[in-house]
Amino acid sequence: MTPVKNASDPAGAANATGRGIAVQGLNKRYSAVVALADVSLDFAPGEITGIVGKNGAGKSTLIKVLSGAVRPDSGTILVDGHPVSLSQPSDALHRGILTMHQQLETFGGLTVAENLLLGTPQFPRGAGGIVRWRMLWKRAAAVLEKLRVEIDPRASMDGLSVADRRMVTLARALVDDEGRMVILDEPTESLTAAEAEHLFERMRELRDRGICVIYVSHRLEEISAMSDRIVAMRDGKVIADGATAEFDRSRLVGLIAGPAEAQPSPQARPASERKPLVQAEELQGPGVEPSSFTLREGEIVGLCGLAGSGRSALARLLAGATRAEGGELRIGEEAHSFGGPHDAILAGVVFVPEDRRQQALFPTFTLEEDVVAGSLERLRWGRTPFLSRRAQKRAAAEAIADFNIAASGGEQLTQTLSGGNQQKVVLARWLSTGGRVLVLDEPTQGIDVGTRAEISTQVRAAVEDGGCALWISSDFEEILTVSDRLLIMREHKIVAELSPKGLSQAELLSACLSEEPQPSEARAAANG
Amino acid sequence: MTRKPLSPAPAAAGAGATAVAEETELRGERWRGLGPRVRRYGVIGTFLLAFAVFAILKPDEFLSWDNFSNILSSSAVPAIVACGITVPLIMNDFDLSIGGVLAFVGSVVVVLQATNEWNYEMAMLVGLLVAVGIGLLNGLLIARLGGSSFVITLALGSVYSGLVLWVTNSQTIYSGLKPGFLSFGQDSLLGIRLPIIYAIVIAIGLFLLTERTVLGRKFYAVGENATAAYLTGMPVERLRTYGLVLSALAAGFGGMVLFAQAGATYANAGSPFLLAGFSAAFLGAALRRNGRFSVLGSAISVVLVQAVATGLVIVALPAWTINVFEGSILAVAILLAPQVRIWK
Repeated sequence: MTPVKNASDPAGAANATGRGIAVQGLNKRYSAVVALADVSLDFAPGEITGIVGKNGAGKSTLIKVLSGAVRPDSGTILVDGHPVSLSQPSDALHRGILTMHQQLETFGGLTVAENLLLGTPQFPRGAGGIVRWRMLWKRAAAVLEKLRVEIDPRASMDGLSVADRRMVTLARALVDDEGRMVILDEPTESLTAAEAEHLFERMRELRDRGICVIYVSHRLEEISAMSDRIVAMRDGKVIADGATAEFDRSRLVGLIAGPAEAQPSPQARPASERKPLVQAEELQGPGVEPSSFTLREGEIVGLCGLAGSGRSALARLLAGATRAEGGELRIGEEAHSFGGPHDAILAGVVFVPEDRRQQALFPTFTLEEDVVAGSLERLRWGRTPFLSRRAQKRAAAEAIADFNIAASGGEQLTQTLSGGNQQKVVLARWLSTGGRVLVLDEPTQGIDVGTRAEISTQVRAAVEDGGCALWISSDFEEILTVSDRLLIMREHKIVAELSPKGLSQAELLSACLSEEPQPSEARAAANG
Repeated sequence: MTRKPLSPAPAAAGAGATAVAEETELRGERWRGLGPRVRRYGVIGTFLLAFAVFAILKPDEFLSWDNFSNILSSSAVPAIVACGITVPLIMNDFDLSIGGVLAFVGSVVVVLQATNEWNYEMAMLVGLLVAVGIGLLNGLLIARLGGSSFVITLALGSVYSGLVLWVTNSQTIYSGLKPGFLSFGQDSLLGIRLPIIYAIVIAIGLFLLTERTVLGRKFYAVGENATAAYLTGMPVERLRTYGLVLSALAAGFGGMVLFAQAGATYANAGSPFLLAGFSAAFLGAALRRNGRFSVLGSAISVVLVQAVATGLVIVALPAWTINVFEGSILAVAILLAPQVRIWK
């Protein structure tokens, strides 16, 4: 086992002159948001460091700084004790820092060998830049051999499984002896347990070859089993740094979630006698494993889960944006199978998608045009195909007043409205269709506190009118406040139902994180 | 090395990214405040200046009734075609096949009556059905199967141009056209030539369809944000197909009018209308306050461009200046039409 750094060590002292990578006093702000605040860390060769923290804690920014994708506002990066400037990804790669992003970026049409060696000095070229294929296969095979993975270097990258593609990406760190650091961002995302275990073995292989491995994951069991050292981040700061043995699960969850905050208790709503409005039985579709749940009249149900848990996929499935592949969906009394959003709207399901700009707004429509776009059929001039301008004006004015949309007038272009007002436009457009089932994917994203409150009041009012809402939010505080009931999603299916009453953010986070026990082998290997 | 930089939406800095996006948007808005007025009055002013020059140089000819009626006459077919392509353009679909469609449908109608001795009404009906079929094919390949409208219509335009040579045996057909067909293109009603009336009727019809009906509003919604339109329950594929059918119909009808006017088919009849149509559509967008494509904008622009073109002939500038002028119009108009998001 490699030496484990102690949290009490002053940052940078142990390795400032040795082989390894360190950062000192990193700061990075995005407008008003502090992404990194005076972060100093030291990464020793042959050590696996797990980084934990919730979304927005600064993990991704740290990774981006190390991989040269983002330049810090201030601070130093030291490679083998020498300050370096990583102003673009290629700088980091030349220093031997390899990053494996969550979204794999590989050349699908090329072979494994090309993916492995392209852009490195090891890529064998003959006179006139001609590729020496035989040499290429041989060198690639040798590199893969070092990582002990059995992949044919001549295979096309497209033909490989996600797991194998990750292996090839990892193997790039072993192409020459310059590899110093490998950064993995949620590497086990979309891998099976066996594939993940295989990946872990390769990570240990890298560590034993003296490479420092940085590993970011939401899966706490994996972090505990795999890493030698854990760094916890919150609000851009390193709040804990120490040997893995010092962290048990509850401490980790506490560090990630932050200090317990006083929970405003949600209004008590007896759910049992309410009529079920949406009933899903083993419903499944793209990105959604068979899930069963019920939404009752008059309730707002919070859907919680980590990014990538399938929340948005479930929302899209309910809204008819993707097609169900199995199971049953009943709205009211009727069973439905949506062929598209059109069918869902007819059944009374309305959908506020996650990405306002890309999926919801008509940017150069006027406020008036945009707010009525979901209920055009009702604005016909009698039974003619013509649109009644008077009906449009009236409907728009109503919506603008109801939702308190701040604009210079109905003629203002929606793209010039503030984010909060745009979201109100989208919400108003949907609620005016008369739908009873609201599917809201991050409806308060990027919106100020006041507008958030208005939006939740509007949704509450719509729901009291005999509807129901499925509310997705990454903001645990918000979701604990607005919802009557919570559904927890993990690994693409609904795994639990909780009452938000008296629930703390830490408990909710704990429920969203995997509880499955790690294979005992992994634990033994990591500890042994 | 070869990896791409990280995607621009960092999870850790979600709020920060939003703030940055908001800032860029505001910057765009500042420009928009100044832009529309300069754009519109600049374009209108340029045309007025050109007309003034023509009027001063050749007052008797340029300002004559004959010239005016001549301008309208020569605008008729290009206006019909331009109004047609505007509908798919509203939905960001480029129909570059209209040149081929115009010649093919026109030739089919002429060949059926001249060579196959059909009565001309039947021939015209078949011509319109062929146009609808072509529009449906374009719609299938573009809206349903997701082909790029640029490439698909460019390719099919070449196919239709080839089919013209097939149905006409590569001949110019000028005999055997039925008198009824010729008067369809050449007669006048209340002193106005029929093609002008067709153009006005089609322009008004498509104007009402696109700007006054529910269907038309959906066209614009698709053009603004097809994903949002789909999630709002609009049948995006069908709407885009309608647009392509309408442009094929307009082009086909334009072909019939053109050959009836001329009393003959001729090779490459369609090619001038492609450039003229798109110049007019983009110029029309530049002329409108909100910078959107619009049927009336396209129709009016056709007339403006024709007026300058005849002016150039009247002041006896060489014929090549007309090509230079028309090409320049398209290039300038594209830059001036701000809401046109071809590059997204």
